[in-house]
Order: sequence, then C-alpha cells, then structure tokens
Amino acid sequence: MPKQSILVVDDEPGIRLYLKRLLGNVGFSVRTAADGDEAVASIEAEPPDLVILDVMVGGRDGYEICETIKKNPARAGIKVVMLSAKSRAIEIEKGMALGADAYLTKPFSMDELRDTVRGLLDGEPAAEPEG
Amino acid sequence: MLDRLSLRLRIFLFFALIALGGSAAIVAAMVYLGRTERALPIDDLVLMGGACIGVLLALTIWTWLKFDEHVAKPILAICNHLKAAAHAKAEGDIKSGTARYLGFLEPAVREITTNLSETRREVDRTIAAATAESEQQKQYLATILRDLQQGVVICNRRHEVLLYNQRALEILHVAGDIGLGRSFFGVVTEQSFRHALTRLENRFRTGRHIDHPDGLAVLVIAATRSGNYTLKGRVSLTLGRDGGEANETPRGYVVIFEDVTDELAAGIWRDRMLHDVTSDMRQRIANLAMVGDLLTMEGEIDAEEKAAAKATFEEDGRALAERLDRLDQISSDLLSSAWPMTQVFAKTLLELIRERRSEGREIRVDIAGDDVWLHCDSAAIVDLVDRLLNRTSVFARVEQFELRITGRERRADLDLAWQGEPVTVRALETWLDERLDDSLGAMTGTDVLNRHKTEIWCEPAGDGRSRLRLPLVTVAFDTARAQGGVRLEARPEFYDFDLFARIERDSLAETPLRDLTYVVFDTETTGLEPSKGDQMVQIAGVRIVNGRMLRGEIFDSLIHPGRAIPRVSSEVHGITDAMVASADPVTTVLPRFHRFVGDAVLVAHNAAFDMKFLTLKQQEAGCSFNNPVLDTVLLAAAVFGADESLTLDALAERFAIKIAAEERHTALGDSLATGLTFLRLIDLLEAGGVATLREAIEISEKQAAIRRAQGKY
Repeated sequence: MPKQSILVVDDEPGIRLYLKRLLGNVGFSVRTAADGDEAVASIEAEPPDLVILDVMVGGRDGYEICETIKKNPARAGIKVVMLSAKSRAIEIEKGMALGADAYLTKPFSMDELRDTVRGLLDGEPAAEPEG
Repeated sequence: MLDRLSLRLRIFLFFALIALGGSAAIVAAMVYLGRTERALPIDDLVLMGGACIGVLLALTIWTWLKFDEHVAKPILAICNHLKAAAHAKAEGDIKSGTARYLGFLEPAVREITTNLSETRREVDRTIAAATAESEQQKQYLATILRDLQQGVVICNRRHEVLLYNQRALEILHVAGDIGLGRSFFGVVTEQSFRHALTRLENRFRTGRHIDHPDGLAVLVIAATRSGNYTLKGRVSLTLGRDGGEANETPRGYVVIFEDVTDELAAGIWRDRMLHDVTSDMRQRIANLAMVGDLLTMEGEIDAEEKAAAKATFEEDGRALAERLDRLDQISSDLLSSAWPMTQVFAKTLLELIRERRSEGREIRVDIAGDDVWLHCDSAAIVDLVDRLLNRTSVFARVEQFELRITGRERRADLDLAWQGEPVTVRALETWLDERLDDSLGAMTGTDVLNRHKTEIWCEPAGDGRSRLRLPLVTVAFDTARAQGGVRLEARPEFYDFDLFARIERDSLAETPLRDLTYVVFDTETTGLEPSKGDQMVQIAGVRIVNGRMLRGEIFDSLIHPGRAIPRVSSEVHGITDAMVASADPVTTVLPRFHRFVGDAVLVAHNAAFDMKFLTLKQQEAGCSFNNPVLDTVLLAAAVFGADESLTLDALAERFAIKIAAEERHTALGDSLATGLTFLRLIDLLEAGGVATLREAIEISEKQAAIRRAQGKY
C-alpha cells in the first residue's frame, strides 16, 4: 500500500518545514504549497489524500481552496484540515460549514495534529490511486 | 334728555302735587269758612283743619307709596343685581320693567352688567387659553423628560429638588425618598456634587466660564446614598436674576446623569484581566525563551532535558493560546462597547430588511423569525443583508428568498435562503469588501462583521437550496430595565420652579403656613386604645409642598400588627388578617415612614390619636417623630367654632371635597381628604390673621385647652 499523501498549504516557511518533518516522521508522504494558487495547481496535478490548509494563506484563501476541493465531486473525498489563528466558535463553524473535515486552532500540539490526521485517514479508505 | 327731564319733571310733579293739593285743600277750607259772616265756630275750624290734614296725609302717603314702589324698590333690586354681578359673577339679566319709572337707570345698569359679563367672559377665555397652553407645554415637558434615557434633577442652591423625571427615580432606585422640595443629598453622596458646584461657582465668579469649552458644566461621578450604584453625569449651573439685581447669579443647578455601575464594574474587571493576562504571558514567554536557549546551546541535551523542554513548550504554548483567547474576548468587548449596539426584536429586524430594498429590484422575501431579541447595530445589519440580497439575486438569478432568524443558545442565525446554487467564497468576499451605504461612513460588510464579532458564509441547505448564514448575538431582553425596574406611578406634580425663590427662614415657627412642607397622614388600627395593646395596621401619608398637595409623592403601607384584627375594626377599614399576613412589621415600616416625613410638619385629623400610636412605637422602631404637629380638628374648631360638626366627612362636605366611597376609611384616602381640607383651612386661617406656624400652633393649643375643659378631647 502506497504512503498516504498530504498537502500542507501555509505561507509560513517554518510551519511548512515543521509539518513536513512531523508528518513525514509518522509515515506520510508530505508535499507543500506556499499559497492558494499553488495549492490548487498541486491538487489538480496530483490529488492528495488530505490537505492541511492555513485559512489565512495568500492568493485564494483557505476557505476558497476548501470550497474548490469539495465542489468537485471527483475531489470531494479529499480530507481537509483547516489550521487557523481564528479561534472563535463562529469561525470554526464557518470552516466546518464550508466543508472542512477538521479545524485546528493555532497554536496546536504535535499530538493533536497527528491524531486528527490519523483519525481522518484511518477512518476512511485511502483516496483511490489515479489510473 | 327729554326722558331725563321727564324723570325730574315727574319727581317735581309729585312734590308739586303735595304742595298744590295741600294749598288747594287749605284754600278750599278757607273759602268754605269765609262764606259766613259770623264768628268762626270752633267746629268748622276743626273740621276744615282735619280735612286739610287728611288731604295732606293722603297725598303724602300716596306719594310715598309711589316712591317706594317705583324708586326705592327698583334701586334696591338694582343694588342686589349689581352686587351679585360684581361678587358672585351672576350672569342673569335685570328683570325688565324693574325701574321703568327711573328713566335711563334700567338700561344703564343693563349695559353695565352686560359689559361686565362680556369682559369677564373675555378674561376667562384668555385665562383658559393661557392655561391650556401652559398645560400643553407642561405635557410636552413631561413627555420629553419621561422618555429621556438620562435622569434629570434640577435643584435650587439649597439642593432642594425642583424637578425630577421618572428615569431619575429609576436610576437612583428610590421611590419615596426623592420629591419636590426634598434635599437631593438625601439620595446621592454629596461630596462630589459639592466639589463640582464649588468648581463651577469659582469658574463663574472669575468669568472663566465664558471661554471655557464646557461653559458652566462639569462632569461628576457620584454614588447613590446606599452606595449600591455609581452615577456619571454633568452638573450645570443655572443662572437667574432677581428683581432688583443687575447681574445674573447662580440660582441652582441641573444634573443629568446615568447609571454606570455595570459599565464601571466591567471596566474594572477588564483592567484587572488585562493586567493578569499580560503579566502571566510575560512569564510564559520567558519560559519558552529559556527552553529555546537550552535547545540551541552547544552540546548534547539528555532525554530528561528534552522531556522537560517538550513539557514546557506544550504547557506554556497552550496557556499562551488560552490567554490570547481571553485578550481577544476583552478586545471584542471593548470594540462592541464603543459601537452603538441596541436590542432589536428579530421580526422587526427582518421587516426592516424587507422594506429596505435599496436597489428597487423585483425581489420577493418571505420572512419568519423566532421571538428573540438581538444585540446588534440594526442599521448596519439591515444594510449589509440588503446588499447581500441584491447581489445574490443577480449572482444566483433568483427573485424569491426566505429570510429567517432562528434562535439558539445565546445566539440566533439570520439565514437568507433561496432555491439554487450557493454563492462562492470569492464572490461573497468581494461583496463584503464593498462599501455599504454612505450614511454608515466608509464601512464595508467586513467591518460590520468584525464589529459584531461574527462571520458570514454560504452553505447548502438541502433540496437544492442554499443559504447565507449570519450568526448574531441574542440577549435576554431586560424588560425590567426597559420598563424602568419597579414601574412607578406617573407623578402628576414633578416640578415646582417656585422653589427656586424659596426663602430660607431661620425659624420654622415664623414661617408662613403656605411655605411649609407638610406630610398629611392617617393610620388605621386594630382598635381605639393603643395603651391596651391596639396596633397600627396601615399608615399612609401625602406631601404638601409650597401649598400644593403632591399626589405623586405618597406613602402607603400595610403593617403586620402582630395580633389579630377584631372583626369590628376590619368592618371599618376593610383590612383583614389575611391582607396583613405578609406585610412588614411596624419596626420596619415606621423607619421608612420616618424617612418619608423627613423634617416636614405632620398634619392629621385628630392628630393626637395617630401620634399616640406613632410615639408608642417609635422607640421600638428606632426613630423619633419630633416634628411639629397640626391637627385639622383643632384648626377647624378655631375657624368654625367648636359647636360645628368637625368630622372629616363634615369638613369635606363643607369644602365640597369629593372622596370616593372606596377610599373613605383607607389611610391613604383619608390622608388625601385631610390634605385638601388642610389647604382650605390655611386660606381661612390666613384670612383670620393666622399666618405662621407659631400662630397656628397657638390657636390649636387654645382650642385643645377649651376642649379639655369641656371634656371633649
């Protein structure tokens, strides 16, 4: 079984590095995107099993990327975890209403993120391999 | 002229008739006597003399009768008519023909009385118009003052209240303690007001107020007497000019205030929170920095150090995030308190949105709302939703919308739903970045959302429908506050500007009766013998200030007598054991009544009886009634004489004072009747030369002595 793939979208290089290392260490194949447009292009090119989205990312924002993913029936199976410094209940509700599968507020712990990702991917069959 | 001459001629003719008739009778008698040549016999002389006297008497009597009938009687009638017209304002006309033999007098009198009536009617009309106008202005003033959100109190220089509004009573949380002529400092702490007034008077004296940005006003923070509520307000000095004065001088002051207790408490809480959170954050950042130093130090770190570092990161990271949430909450509170938020009923808000229709599109909007109150800037929300409605209509090509507000716990969702595709995130964000109505300043939809600490998003609503959801905060509508807490009866007399000019007198005894403040009171009891254990079951009173009975400033309380009320007493005053079961005992009620009375003169009908109950209980209640006392029975006896009936009913009837049957024999009803009786008695006492309190007490004592001597009292 191929490694499950994760796309990390965040405009902070530090966070991208940290998440890549953290999730890579627990056995996922991780690639990154620095803004919304790059993320959408990356998803189009090769759909990941899960996308970790910073809501405030440049270009298209996290909400819009989430909407783009969930609107496309062929991509709707991709899990979306939103990461945001916006921590109010209404902001979380907005993220979930737009189709996010989980919403983590910054700062979060390594364990929290790892458990969330595992929970989402283990509970569901991995995205069907292309072709 | 001819008539006048003819009246004079007529009177002349009467007298000419007496003269001519008398002369003719004498001449006739002399002719008769001259017929014989013999010496005049005595008999004939007597006969003729008698005949002459008879003729003269007859003529005189006839003339007198005519004069009495046609001159004296008509003049008397005219006099009475004129008196009635002058004093009793009688309008009736003089009976025609009353003075038909008095020439011009009757038409002249008729003309005078007609003119008098007309003049009087004209004066009455003018007075009525002026009264109606002033009454209307009073009504306007009352309405404006009632609807003001701020408390308003106007005082004279002795801090006596001349005007107050309903809101002032509510904010000060007082009912009977504030009133016309009472000291404002009875309900608020005086230090800050005195300080403010001293500053203002200094500013005025030195003329600095002319250029001062606040003129003759200054901010004041004070507290209610009880210390439970904090007030913030402005004190402004009121200037006026007495008759002889060339320049204006301070006559009093106006205080406009609001209750800032909650605001202040919130501010204090916020400051404390900010302090705690920021100092705690400083500590945690220092921890993280230290661990960072440890991790980047040269040399290996062992497993224990690594575990400690990890624990610090996790704990302090989480704690910092939590503190940030609290800071966020504090900043949100600050933002929303600076922005005008109001309480608006959900359905009202929806109707306002539906009616807004700023772009005049053919859009149909069905509305449905739960019965919830929203806390928001309704004008901004209406504009925002109206904008979204118009944009969505174009975007989704729909004309039919459903607008619904659904209440949830502490919040409500405003949903704009339609049949069709959802709005994209990009489109929604573009709309939210547009400026809204110019009247809202340069505000965008995003600004409105930020100010309301909320978000908006579009989501599928099932069955091919979509909806925009805007969560808003709900409030439990504070009906008590909206209605002003304890809703107080509207007070008919809420101002008396004559108090501005009230002269302070050194001696209460020498103060004119009309200028004194009174509390007219009455008690209902279990029986007539306080010394044998009878108790009060009700006490009521009403204030009289400046010669006006203030029906709005009353005291009325049942009292638990601590014993059964005999049936025979209940039949008199209608108060039963059941009615007083939950009433306060005399030890609670009496101090309240004592505060209501203040230093007013006490007035009661048969005051000795009521005072006996009061004084028997005052020690137990911890208050003493040393006020001067006037008794309407004794005053009425001085005015009408002790032989007249002096019961309250008899006096009320004499003065045409109406007491509703159901009010008679209630403490309040009898207090009101006694109050009105007392005001009439003051008029009569003044007319009889009793003008001051000392004089009124003196004549009362005299009457009491007489009654004691007669064994009546």
